[in-house]
Amino acid sequence: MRLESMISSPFSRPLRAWRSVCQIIIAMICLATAPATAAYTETAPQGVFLFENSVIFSRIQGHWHDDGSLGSLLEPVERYEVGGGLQGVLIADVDARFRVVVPMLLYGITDDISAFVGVPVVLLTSINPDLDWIPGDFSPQIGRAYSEDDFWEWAGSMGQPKPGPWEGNRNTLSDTVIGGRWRFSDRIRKQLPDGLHLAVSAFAALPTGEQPDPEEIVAVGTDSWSLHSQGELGLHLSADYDLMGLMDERVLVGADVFYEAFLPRTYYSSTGEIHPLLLNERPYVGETYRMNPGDFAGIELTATVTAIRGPARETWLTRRAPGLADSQPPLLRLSFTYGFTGVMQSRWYSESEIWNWDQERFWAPGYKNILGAQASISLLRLGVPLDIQAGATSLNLLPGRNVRAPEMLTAAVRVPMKFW
Amino acid sequence: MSPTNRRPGLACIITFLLLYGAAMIGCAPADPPPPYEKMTLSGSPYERGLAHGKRFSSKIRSLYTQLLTSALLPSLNRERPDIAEVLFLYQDERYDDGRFSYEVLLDSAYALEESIPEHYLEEIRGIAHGSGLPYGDALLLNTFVDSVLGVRTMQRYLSQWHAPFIRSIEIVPGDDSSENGAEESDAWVQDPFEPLFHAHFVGVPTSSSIRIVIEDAPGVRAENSDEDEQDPADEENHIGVDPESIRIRLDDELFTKGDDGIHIELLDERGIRLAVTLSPPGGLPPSAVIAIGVEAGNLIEIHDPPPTRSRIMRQQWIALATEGLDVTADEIPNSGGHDDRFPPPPIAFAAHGNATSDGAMRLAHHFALLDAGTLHRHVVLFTHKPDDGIPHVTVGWTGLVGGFSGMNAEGLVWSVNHSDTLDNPVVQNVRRKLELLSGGLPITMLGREVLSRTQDVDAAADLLVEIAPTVGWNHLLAGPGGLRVVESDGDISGEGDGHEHVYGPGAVDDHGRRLAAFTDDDIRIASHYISNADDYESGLLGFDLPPQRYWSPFWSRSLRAFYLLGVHVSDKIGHLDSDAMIGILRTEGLYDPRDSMNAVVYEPEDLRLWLAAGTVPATDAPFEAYDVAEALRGTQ
Repeated sequence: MRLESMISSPFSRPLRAWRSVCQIIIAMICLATAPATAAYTETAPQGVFLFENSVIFSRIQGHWHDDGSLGSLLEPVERYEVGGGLQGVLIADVDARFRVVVPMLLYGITDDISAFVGVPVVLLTSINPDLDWIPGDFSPQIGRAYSEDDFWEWAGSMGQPKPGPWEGNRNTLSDTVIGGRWRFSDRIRKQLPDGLHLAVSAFAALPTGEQPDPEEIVAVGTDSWSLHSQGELGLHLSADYDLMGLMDERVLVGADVFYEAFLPRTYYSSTGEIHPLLLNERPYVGETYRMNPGDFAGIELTATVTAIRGPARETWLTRRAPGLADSQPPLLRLSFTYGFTGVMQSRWYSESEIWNWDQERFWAPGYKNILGAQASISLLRLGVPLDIQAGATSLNLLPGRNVRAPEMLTAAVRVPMKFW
Repeated sequence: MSPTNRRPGLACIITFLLLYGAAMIGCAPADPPPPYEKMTLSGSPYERGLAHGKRFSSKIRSLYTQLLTSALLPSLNRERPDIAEVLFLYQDERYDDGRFSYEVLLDSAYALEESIPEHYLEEIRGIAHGSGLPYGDALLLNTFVDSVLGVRTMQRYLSQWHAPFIRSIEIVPGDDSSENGAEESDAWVQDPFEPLFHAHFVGVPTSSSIRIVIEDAPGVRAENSDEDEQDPADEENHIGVDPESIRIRLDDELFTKGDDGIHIELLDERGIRLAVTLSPPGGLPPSAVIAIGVEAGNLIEIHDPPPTRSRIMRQQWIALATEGLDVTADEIPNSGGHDDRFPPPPIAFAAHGNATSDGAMRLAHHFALLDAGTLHRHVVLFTHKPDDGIPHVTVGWTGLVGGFSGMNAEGLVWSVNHSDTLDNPVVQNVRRKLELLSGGLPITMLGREVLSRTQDVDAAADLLVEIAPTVGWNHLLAGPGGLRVVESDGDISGEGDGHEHVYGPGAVDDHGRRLAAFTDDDIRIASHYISNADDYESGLLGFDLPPQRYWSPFWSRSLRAFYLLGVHVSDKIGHLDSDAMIGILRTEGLYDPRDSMNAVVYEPEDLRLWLAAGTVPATDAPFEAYDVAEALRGTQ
């Protein structure tokens, strides 16, 4: 499956994160399987638990706009002086950072069917809006165009503070994910070419995450839409193919086609309690509003090469099964991933058609172009039941449209467990 | 064994693709809301208001929140210190904590309520009930334009009273001027300076310098009259014109302190007066009309409300004609120069007969005042079918009972632009009660009265003279009876001169020149008085309250817009049709790119209009035809 996790969306809307983590876990279940299979279609052997803990560091500084340009995460806010034209435009050069930990547990129901549960926890979200200012029209009242200081002095006298850095979501639960995978190619093995594996996976997110504070301009929640890395209901169709003998090493390629849906949700509108001039839509939006986030549909392609196979000596793990030592995962594997995710139109439903449109135009249909690389170290060949992974993912390298542009680093460790 | 069991992979793939395809159907982009709305209102006033309020409930509340709560009220709060300095009532704690503007506008709304006919109050009640807005806020929404213009009139005047002003202007001929037979220099001095509709001087030698004496405001000097009490370390007490603030425009060229061609000299120790001498390198161009723009601020630092600023005089334009141009001063309009910082005010023009390509009557109106990024998203084309009165359309906004232009079933078109005057009920109430209370009939309702009660321009003009307005307005009427302009003010002095300022294309000035037309079949207005140029001159609380041209910041811009509009209209005389009029409305320099609110061309004889709205400026939007006749018949 895809290694696309990215925590995006700093503000009141989406951040997304850990989807791939569960996939990574599945990929790591190569323990005790003989022979090893590729990432998108891997399952845990029957009766084996696999525990994984991942830590994700994500940073977002830009948003791919409808015209393909990489701009600010926040839409510019135009401020007008009645009868005096445009005071200026507030531009947020946002730097949003996230730390997320994702403990997961995967269990092999049968050799070709696995179930998993993941409980992501946001450790900390910090957002620095770093507001900038484009001066507007000349103001005859003050004899100049409003400078940034002029504006915030003016706004301050009206009770509007300048939004500063925000930190929150300390140790806050995100949506809990449960799911499963069926590698159905095992049932039709004879009808398929050697090395080709097919699987279907599904998952659902339980609403344990939190929504952002509606009164904060620079705040983000921890629910799936806020994280914007995966949907709440997902269906994946995947294929892995072993290309034997290439470069004297094993090369795996995989493809994952997916559709992930979000469920409609309800949010509270802002009252202006903190930001009386900038965030006060309740009188015309209504106390609450509904939104239906745009679903995801896309494809991810991965190529994995074995960099260091490692020794095939017998260890305490393989002692009881002669010949198993050589089938253990390589010591070091490198994966390279490209993903394309189509993002559909998100829709808002409030009492204000104008306000709905103001939100919707920023979340018009778009796409993510995702590049990723990952290194996997397996110590099984050395007799240590531990896998370590490190990866990097970026949406900045290839242009996207109407999506956040995060960069992410992931580190994970995994330990297999068998209790009966 | 079932087929699915035999082919589990195929079943999975088919299921996936079906789900995928079905979901993709729903990914169409969202559509933006329409640029403006249309609504037909019929029944009793309350029923019409209720229908209006219900349909546009959210838009009414978003207009209120975005325009008033988030923009106008905070902005107006800034003016409290200036006002409370003179009107002590507003120092009361009731007006603290940012409530000054809301309380003032609400008080004014209830004062205006007494002048509003019951059928409009019923309509406003209906709007309030339908939208969920409290009645007081709905009333405020329907009166704030009038109240704000009245209050702002006072504020603008007070600001100018505190700001530097031009004391005198003098043309100083160069050494070679006398050899060329130039006039005596005393003919080229104006002291005290007077803002004029036409050129200040003609036949100016090209080697001349222009000497402008700028003086700090009488208001500032009055406050700082006891010099012994001045603390030089106290910035608040700094008085005098700030040389660094001097900006002199010579047509498109800007001169500031330190530039070649400009010399600034303090005329007293404290710099209360300074002289700016402009000697353009290379001299003045011969046989040319020259526009000189003057701006200055003083050294006062006003900290409350922020941001810190000084007092800035309005931009004042002076027109000259240099030697070689055989004209008289009154032939040269003081049309100013181009300056992007000061957008044009609203304009309107009308034509028929020989001025149009087909003889049909048309009126074009571009309205700009206070969009604030909000009003253009709340435009509604209302068709009113009252139980009694003439059916009519108005171009208005959600929550408001009217607009600033409209047309009735008799083919009468009314349009209006504001025109600053101190002859208004707010000034009267300041004089009588020391309160900022408006009076008269709010403009949107005044327009509705004209459209629902009159059938021709003469009757409409009579009505506009008869009904007391809230502030100064320039009305342009077109329809049965021809074309008329009505320049109205509050007539608080009771002169009863309203009818003197109703005129048509044939009206001329003292020199026999048409006031606002080129032929008998065209006419135009902007945002300044022409016939009513001496709108007011009186005293109040020790202030001299002068006519509009002495203090209104709109005056110079309006003169320029009026002049430019004339240039474009005269070019098209005889060929004016709706397309040509739309082209003129879209001409740069004639529309306000910041606060444009709507643009309309009316065709009263065909009962049709062309409306552009929903963008800023409105003229960027397509002009869409609307068949008023159809709408009035109920089929549109």
